[in-house]
Amino acid sequence: MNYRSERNVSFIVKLFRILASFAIFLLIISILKIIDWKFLITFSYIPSIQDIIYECVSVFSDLEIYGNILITLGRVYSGFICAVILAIPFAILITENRLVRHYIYPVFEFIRPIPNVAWVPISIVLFQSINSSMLFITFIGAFFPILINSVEGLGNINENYKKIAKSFHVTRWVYITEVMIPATFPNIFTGLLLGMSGSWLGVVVAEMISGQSGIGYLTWVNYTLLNMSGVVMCMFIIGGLGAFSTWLLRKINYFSIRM
Amino acid sequence: MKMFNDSKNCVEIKNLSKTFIRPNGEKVNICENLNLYIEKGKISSIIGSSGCGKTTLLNMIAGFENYDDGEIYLAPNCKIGILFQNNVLFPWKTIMQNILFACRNYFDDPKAVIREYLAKVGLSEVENCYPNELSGGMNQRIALLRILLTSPDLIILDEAFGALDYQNRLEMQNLFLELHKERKFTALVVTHDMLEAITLGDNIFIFYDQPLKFNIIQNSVKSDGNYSSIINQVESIFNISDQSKYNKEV
Repeated sequence: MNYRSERNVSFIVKLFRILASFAIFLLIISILKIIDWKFLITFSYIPSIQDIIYECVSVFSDLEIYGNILITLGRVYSGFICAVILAIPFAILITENRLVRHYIYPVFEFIRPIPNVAWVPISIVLFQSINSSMLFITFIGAFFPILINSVEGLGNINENYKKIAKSFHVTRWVYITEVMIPATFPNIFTGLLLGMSGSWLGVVVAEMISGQSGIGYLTWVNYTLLNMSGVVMCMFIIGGLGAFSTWLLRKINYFSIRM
Repeated sequence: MKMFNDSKNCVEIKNLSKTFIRPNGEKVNICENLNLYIEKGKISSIIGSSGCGKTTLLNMIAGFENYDDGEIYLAPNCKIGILFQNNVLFPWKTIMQNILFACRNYFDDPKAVIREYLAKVGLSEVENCYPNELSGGMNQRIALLRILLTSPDLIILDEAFGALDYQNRLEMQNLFLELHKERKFTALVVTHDMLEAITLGDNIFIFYDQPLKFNIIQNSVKSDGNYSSIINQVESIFNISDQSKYNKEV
């Protein structure tokens, strides 16, 4: 997607586009609900838009939901930031140090495909508190996408950039901070976007399975109470917060780099 | 890479050998017992067919690539600056930041010096621009300026003006010659353009064959203006190399 060509589009047009896509989506769901679609999938138990709106009004008038949102956000961002802090320096180490690349990195290639859900039992055993284990799950969700994308990018830096830096005899620190990381930033940024999605996936799974608070936990509670309006509302909250996180990342990218 | 104390040459290559293995397992002998001298303060043009090993040789001289055998000697404290055809500036840095990257430790007030030099080459208004906002010719001029601010003893141009249009190419060649006259640095200019090799070079190295062989022509154009004699000499060397290749194949 070419974001530069989007720079001149006004906020009103952008908002209209977003609202239009929501309207199309809700319209399709509403039609399927009204005609009571039953071929392959059934829409009988899906709540109507009206029910979801009532649920939202009732839930958002209570302070409890805001607490749960903050708890989930806290878990996501804590896990994500820990992943960024560890994954990027580790990726640099893998690229720059042959021993690390040959003797430590291969095991990460093996661990990487293990899905978040499979980590839940181990994390419960590994950590003494539920919060720590959930933080670990969100961390794992972000760590590998950031690591793999950073390693790929760092390994494919334009040879000319390396040669230019070498010919000017800059220090290792200057090379890493002023050449390596900026040159790899598009790859790192893709890793961050995927990592953010991974963190959200992780937190919801962890809260559903072992949580006692948070939006994932609330989704599960609503499901056990057969309150499908509540489930859909929680899904919308997760989607909205996830989209907000991606938007935030894109803003950081827009201000931090000029490629 | 070793240093030597010879006042005449900037680079001395003695018995240099280099081979590498292609991904398909084929062994390529780039050079074998190559001996070559680059005179101090002169511009040496290098022309030769694609893939004959010119860039590999430059990379070995610049210290970017290792060699198997032999030695490359450089003049004492020889600083090398290198200019490529593409990606000459970092696109995430402004022009000022790009130049500062190279020479921030060279001056007490590097920004003032950079502004002064940018003004000299008529680019004083671009210091806050990014490379993608400027033309290819401007980028090359700035990259050359960046190298010169570090006062290199040897400048390597690896087809540096190859991607420029005719007008910009001429401007860059003139700028380069002017700066050479002023600074008296040694230069190695790899080019595919015969006219450029003749315009810039005091000596012209014609590379051919693999492992690398070469002939040197002393460029007399600068004194007698006779382009055709040089071109004839170069063509005859290429014809001889083609003939020897043909004989080998037969």
